Amino acid sequence: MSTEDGKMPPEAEAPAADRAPGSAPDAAPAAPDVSREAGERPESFRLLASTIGAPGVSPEAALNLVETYDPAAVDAGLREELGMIVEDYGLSLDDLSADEQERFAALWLGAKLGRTDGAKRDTAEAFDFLAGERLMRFSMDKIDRLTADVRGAETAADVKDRLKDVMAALARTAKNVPMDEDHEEEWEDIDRKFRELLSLKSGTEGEVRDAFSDVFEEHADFIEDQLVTARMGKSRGDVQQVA
Amino acid sequence: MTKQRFQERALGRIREELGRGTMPLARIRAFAAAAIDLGAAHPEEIPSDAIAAVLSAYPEFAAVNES
Repeated sequence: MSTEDGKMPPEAEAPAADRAPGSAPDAAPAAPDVSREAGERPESFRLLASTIGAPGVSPEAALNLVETYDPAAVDAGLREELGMIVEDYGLSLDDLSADEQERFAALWLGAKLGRTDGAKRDTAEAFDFLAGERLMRFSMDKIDRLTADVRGAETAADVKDRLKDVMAALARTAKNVPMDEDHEEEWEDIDRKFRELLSLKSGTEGEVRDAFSDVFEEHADFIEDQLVTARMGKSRGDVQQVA
Repeated sequence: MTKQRFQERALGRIREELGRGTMPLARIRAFAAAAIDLGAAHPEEIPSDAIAAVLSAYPEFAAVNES
């Protein structure tokens, strides 16, 4: 069994200092100390247990997560990497709870530092699964919040600024959803969010309506290439309404 | 025991320990590493003597080998 990379060898668990006072050096080794160390937080155990029990985490990936998990390794560099990943889903780290950040950090560490190629691969797949599932939900919530901001805008300039945010988030989220039968539900959600914006536009006129038109024009590629294609895939036949 | 079965059982014991929250995380991590290494060395069926060797180093996880 390899113990490189600083992994703790089993024999390191029963140092001489742990022997009972007065026991002979050649006596049977003392039982390992199985008490939790003072610096270890109960929250870390709970978080690790919930992460390895999440859907999409195979036994190999779960063991790998346990082996690579190190709360102390979640430093600024790792947070920066994570930030770039979640940004692809239209989110920032601030959108995630502390637990969610730590959970994704654990998965990311496992995918990077796994003990074997198979363990790394399994953990990367688990990361993709959870990221796709959870970050999509968070993205949709964020889009709802941004859409509410558009509703609350009082001037055409405010509408334009806030609509830019929501369209950017929608387009970034859509970028991570494959256009296939397995993701029809996600595309229906994305389409529904866009229809909400269309319905907001329909109740406007003048400068506010122009603001909607300008922003939709800026995202014409996303609307025409992706949303229309997704709708055509569903054979809804309402392409004209989008255009 | 198949690799899959062994790893599931090892994970079951690890979950118990995480739930209990009293064993040092380093010890749990070391056992997880041993379980991964054992699976890598025996991708299909893990010989019982190989399992016994690992569990002798981690006696607190011996229940993995119990039916």
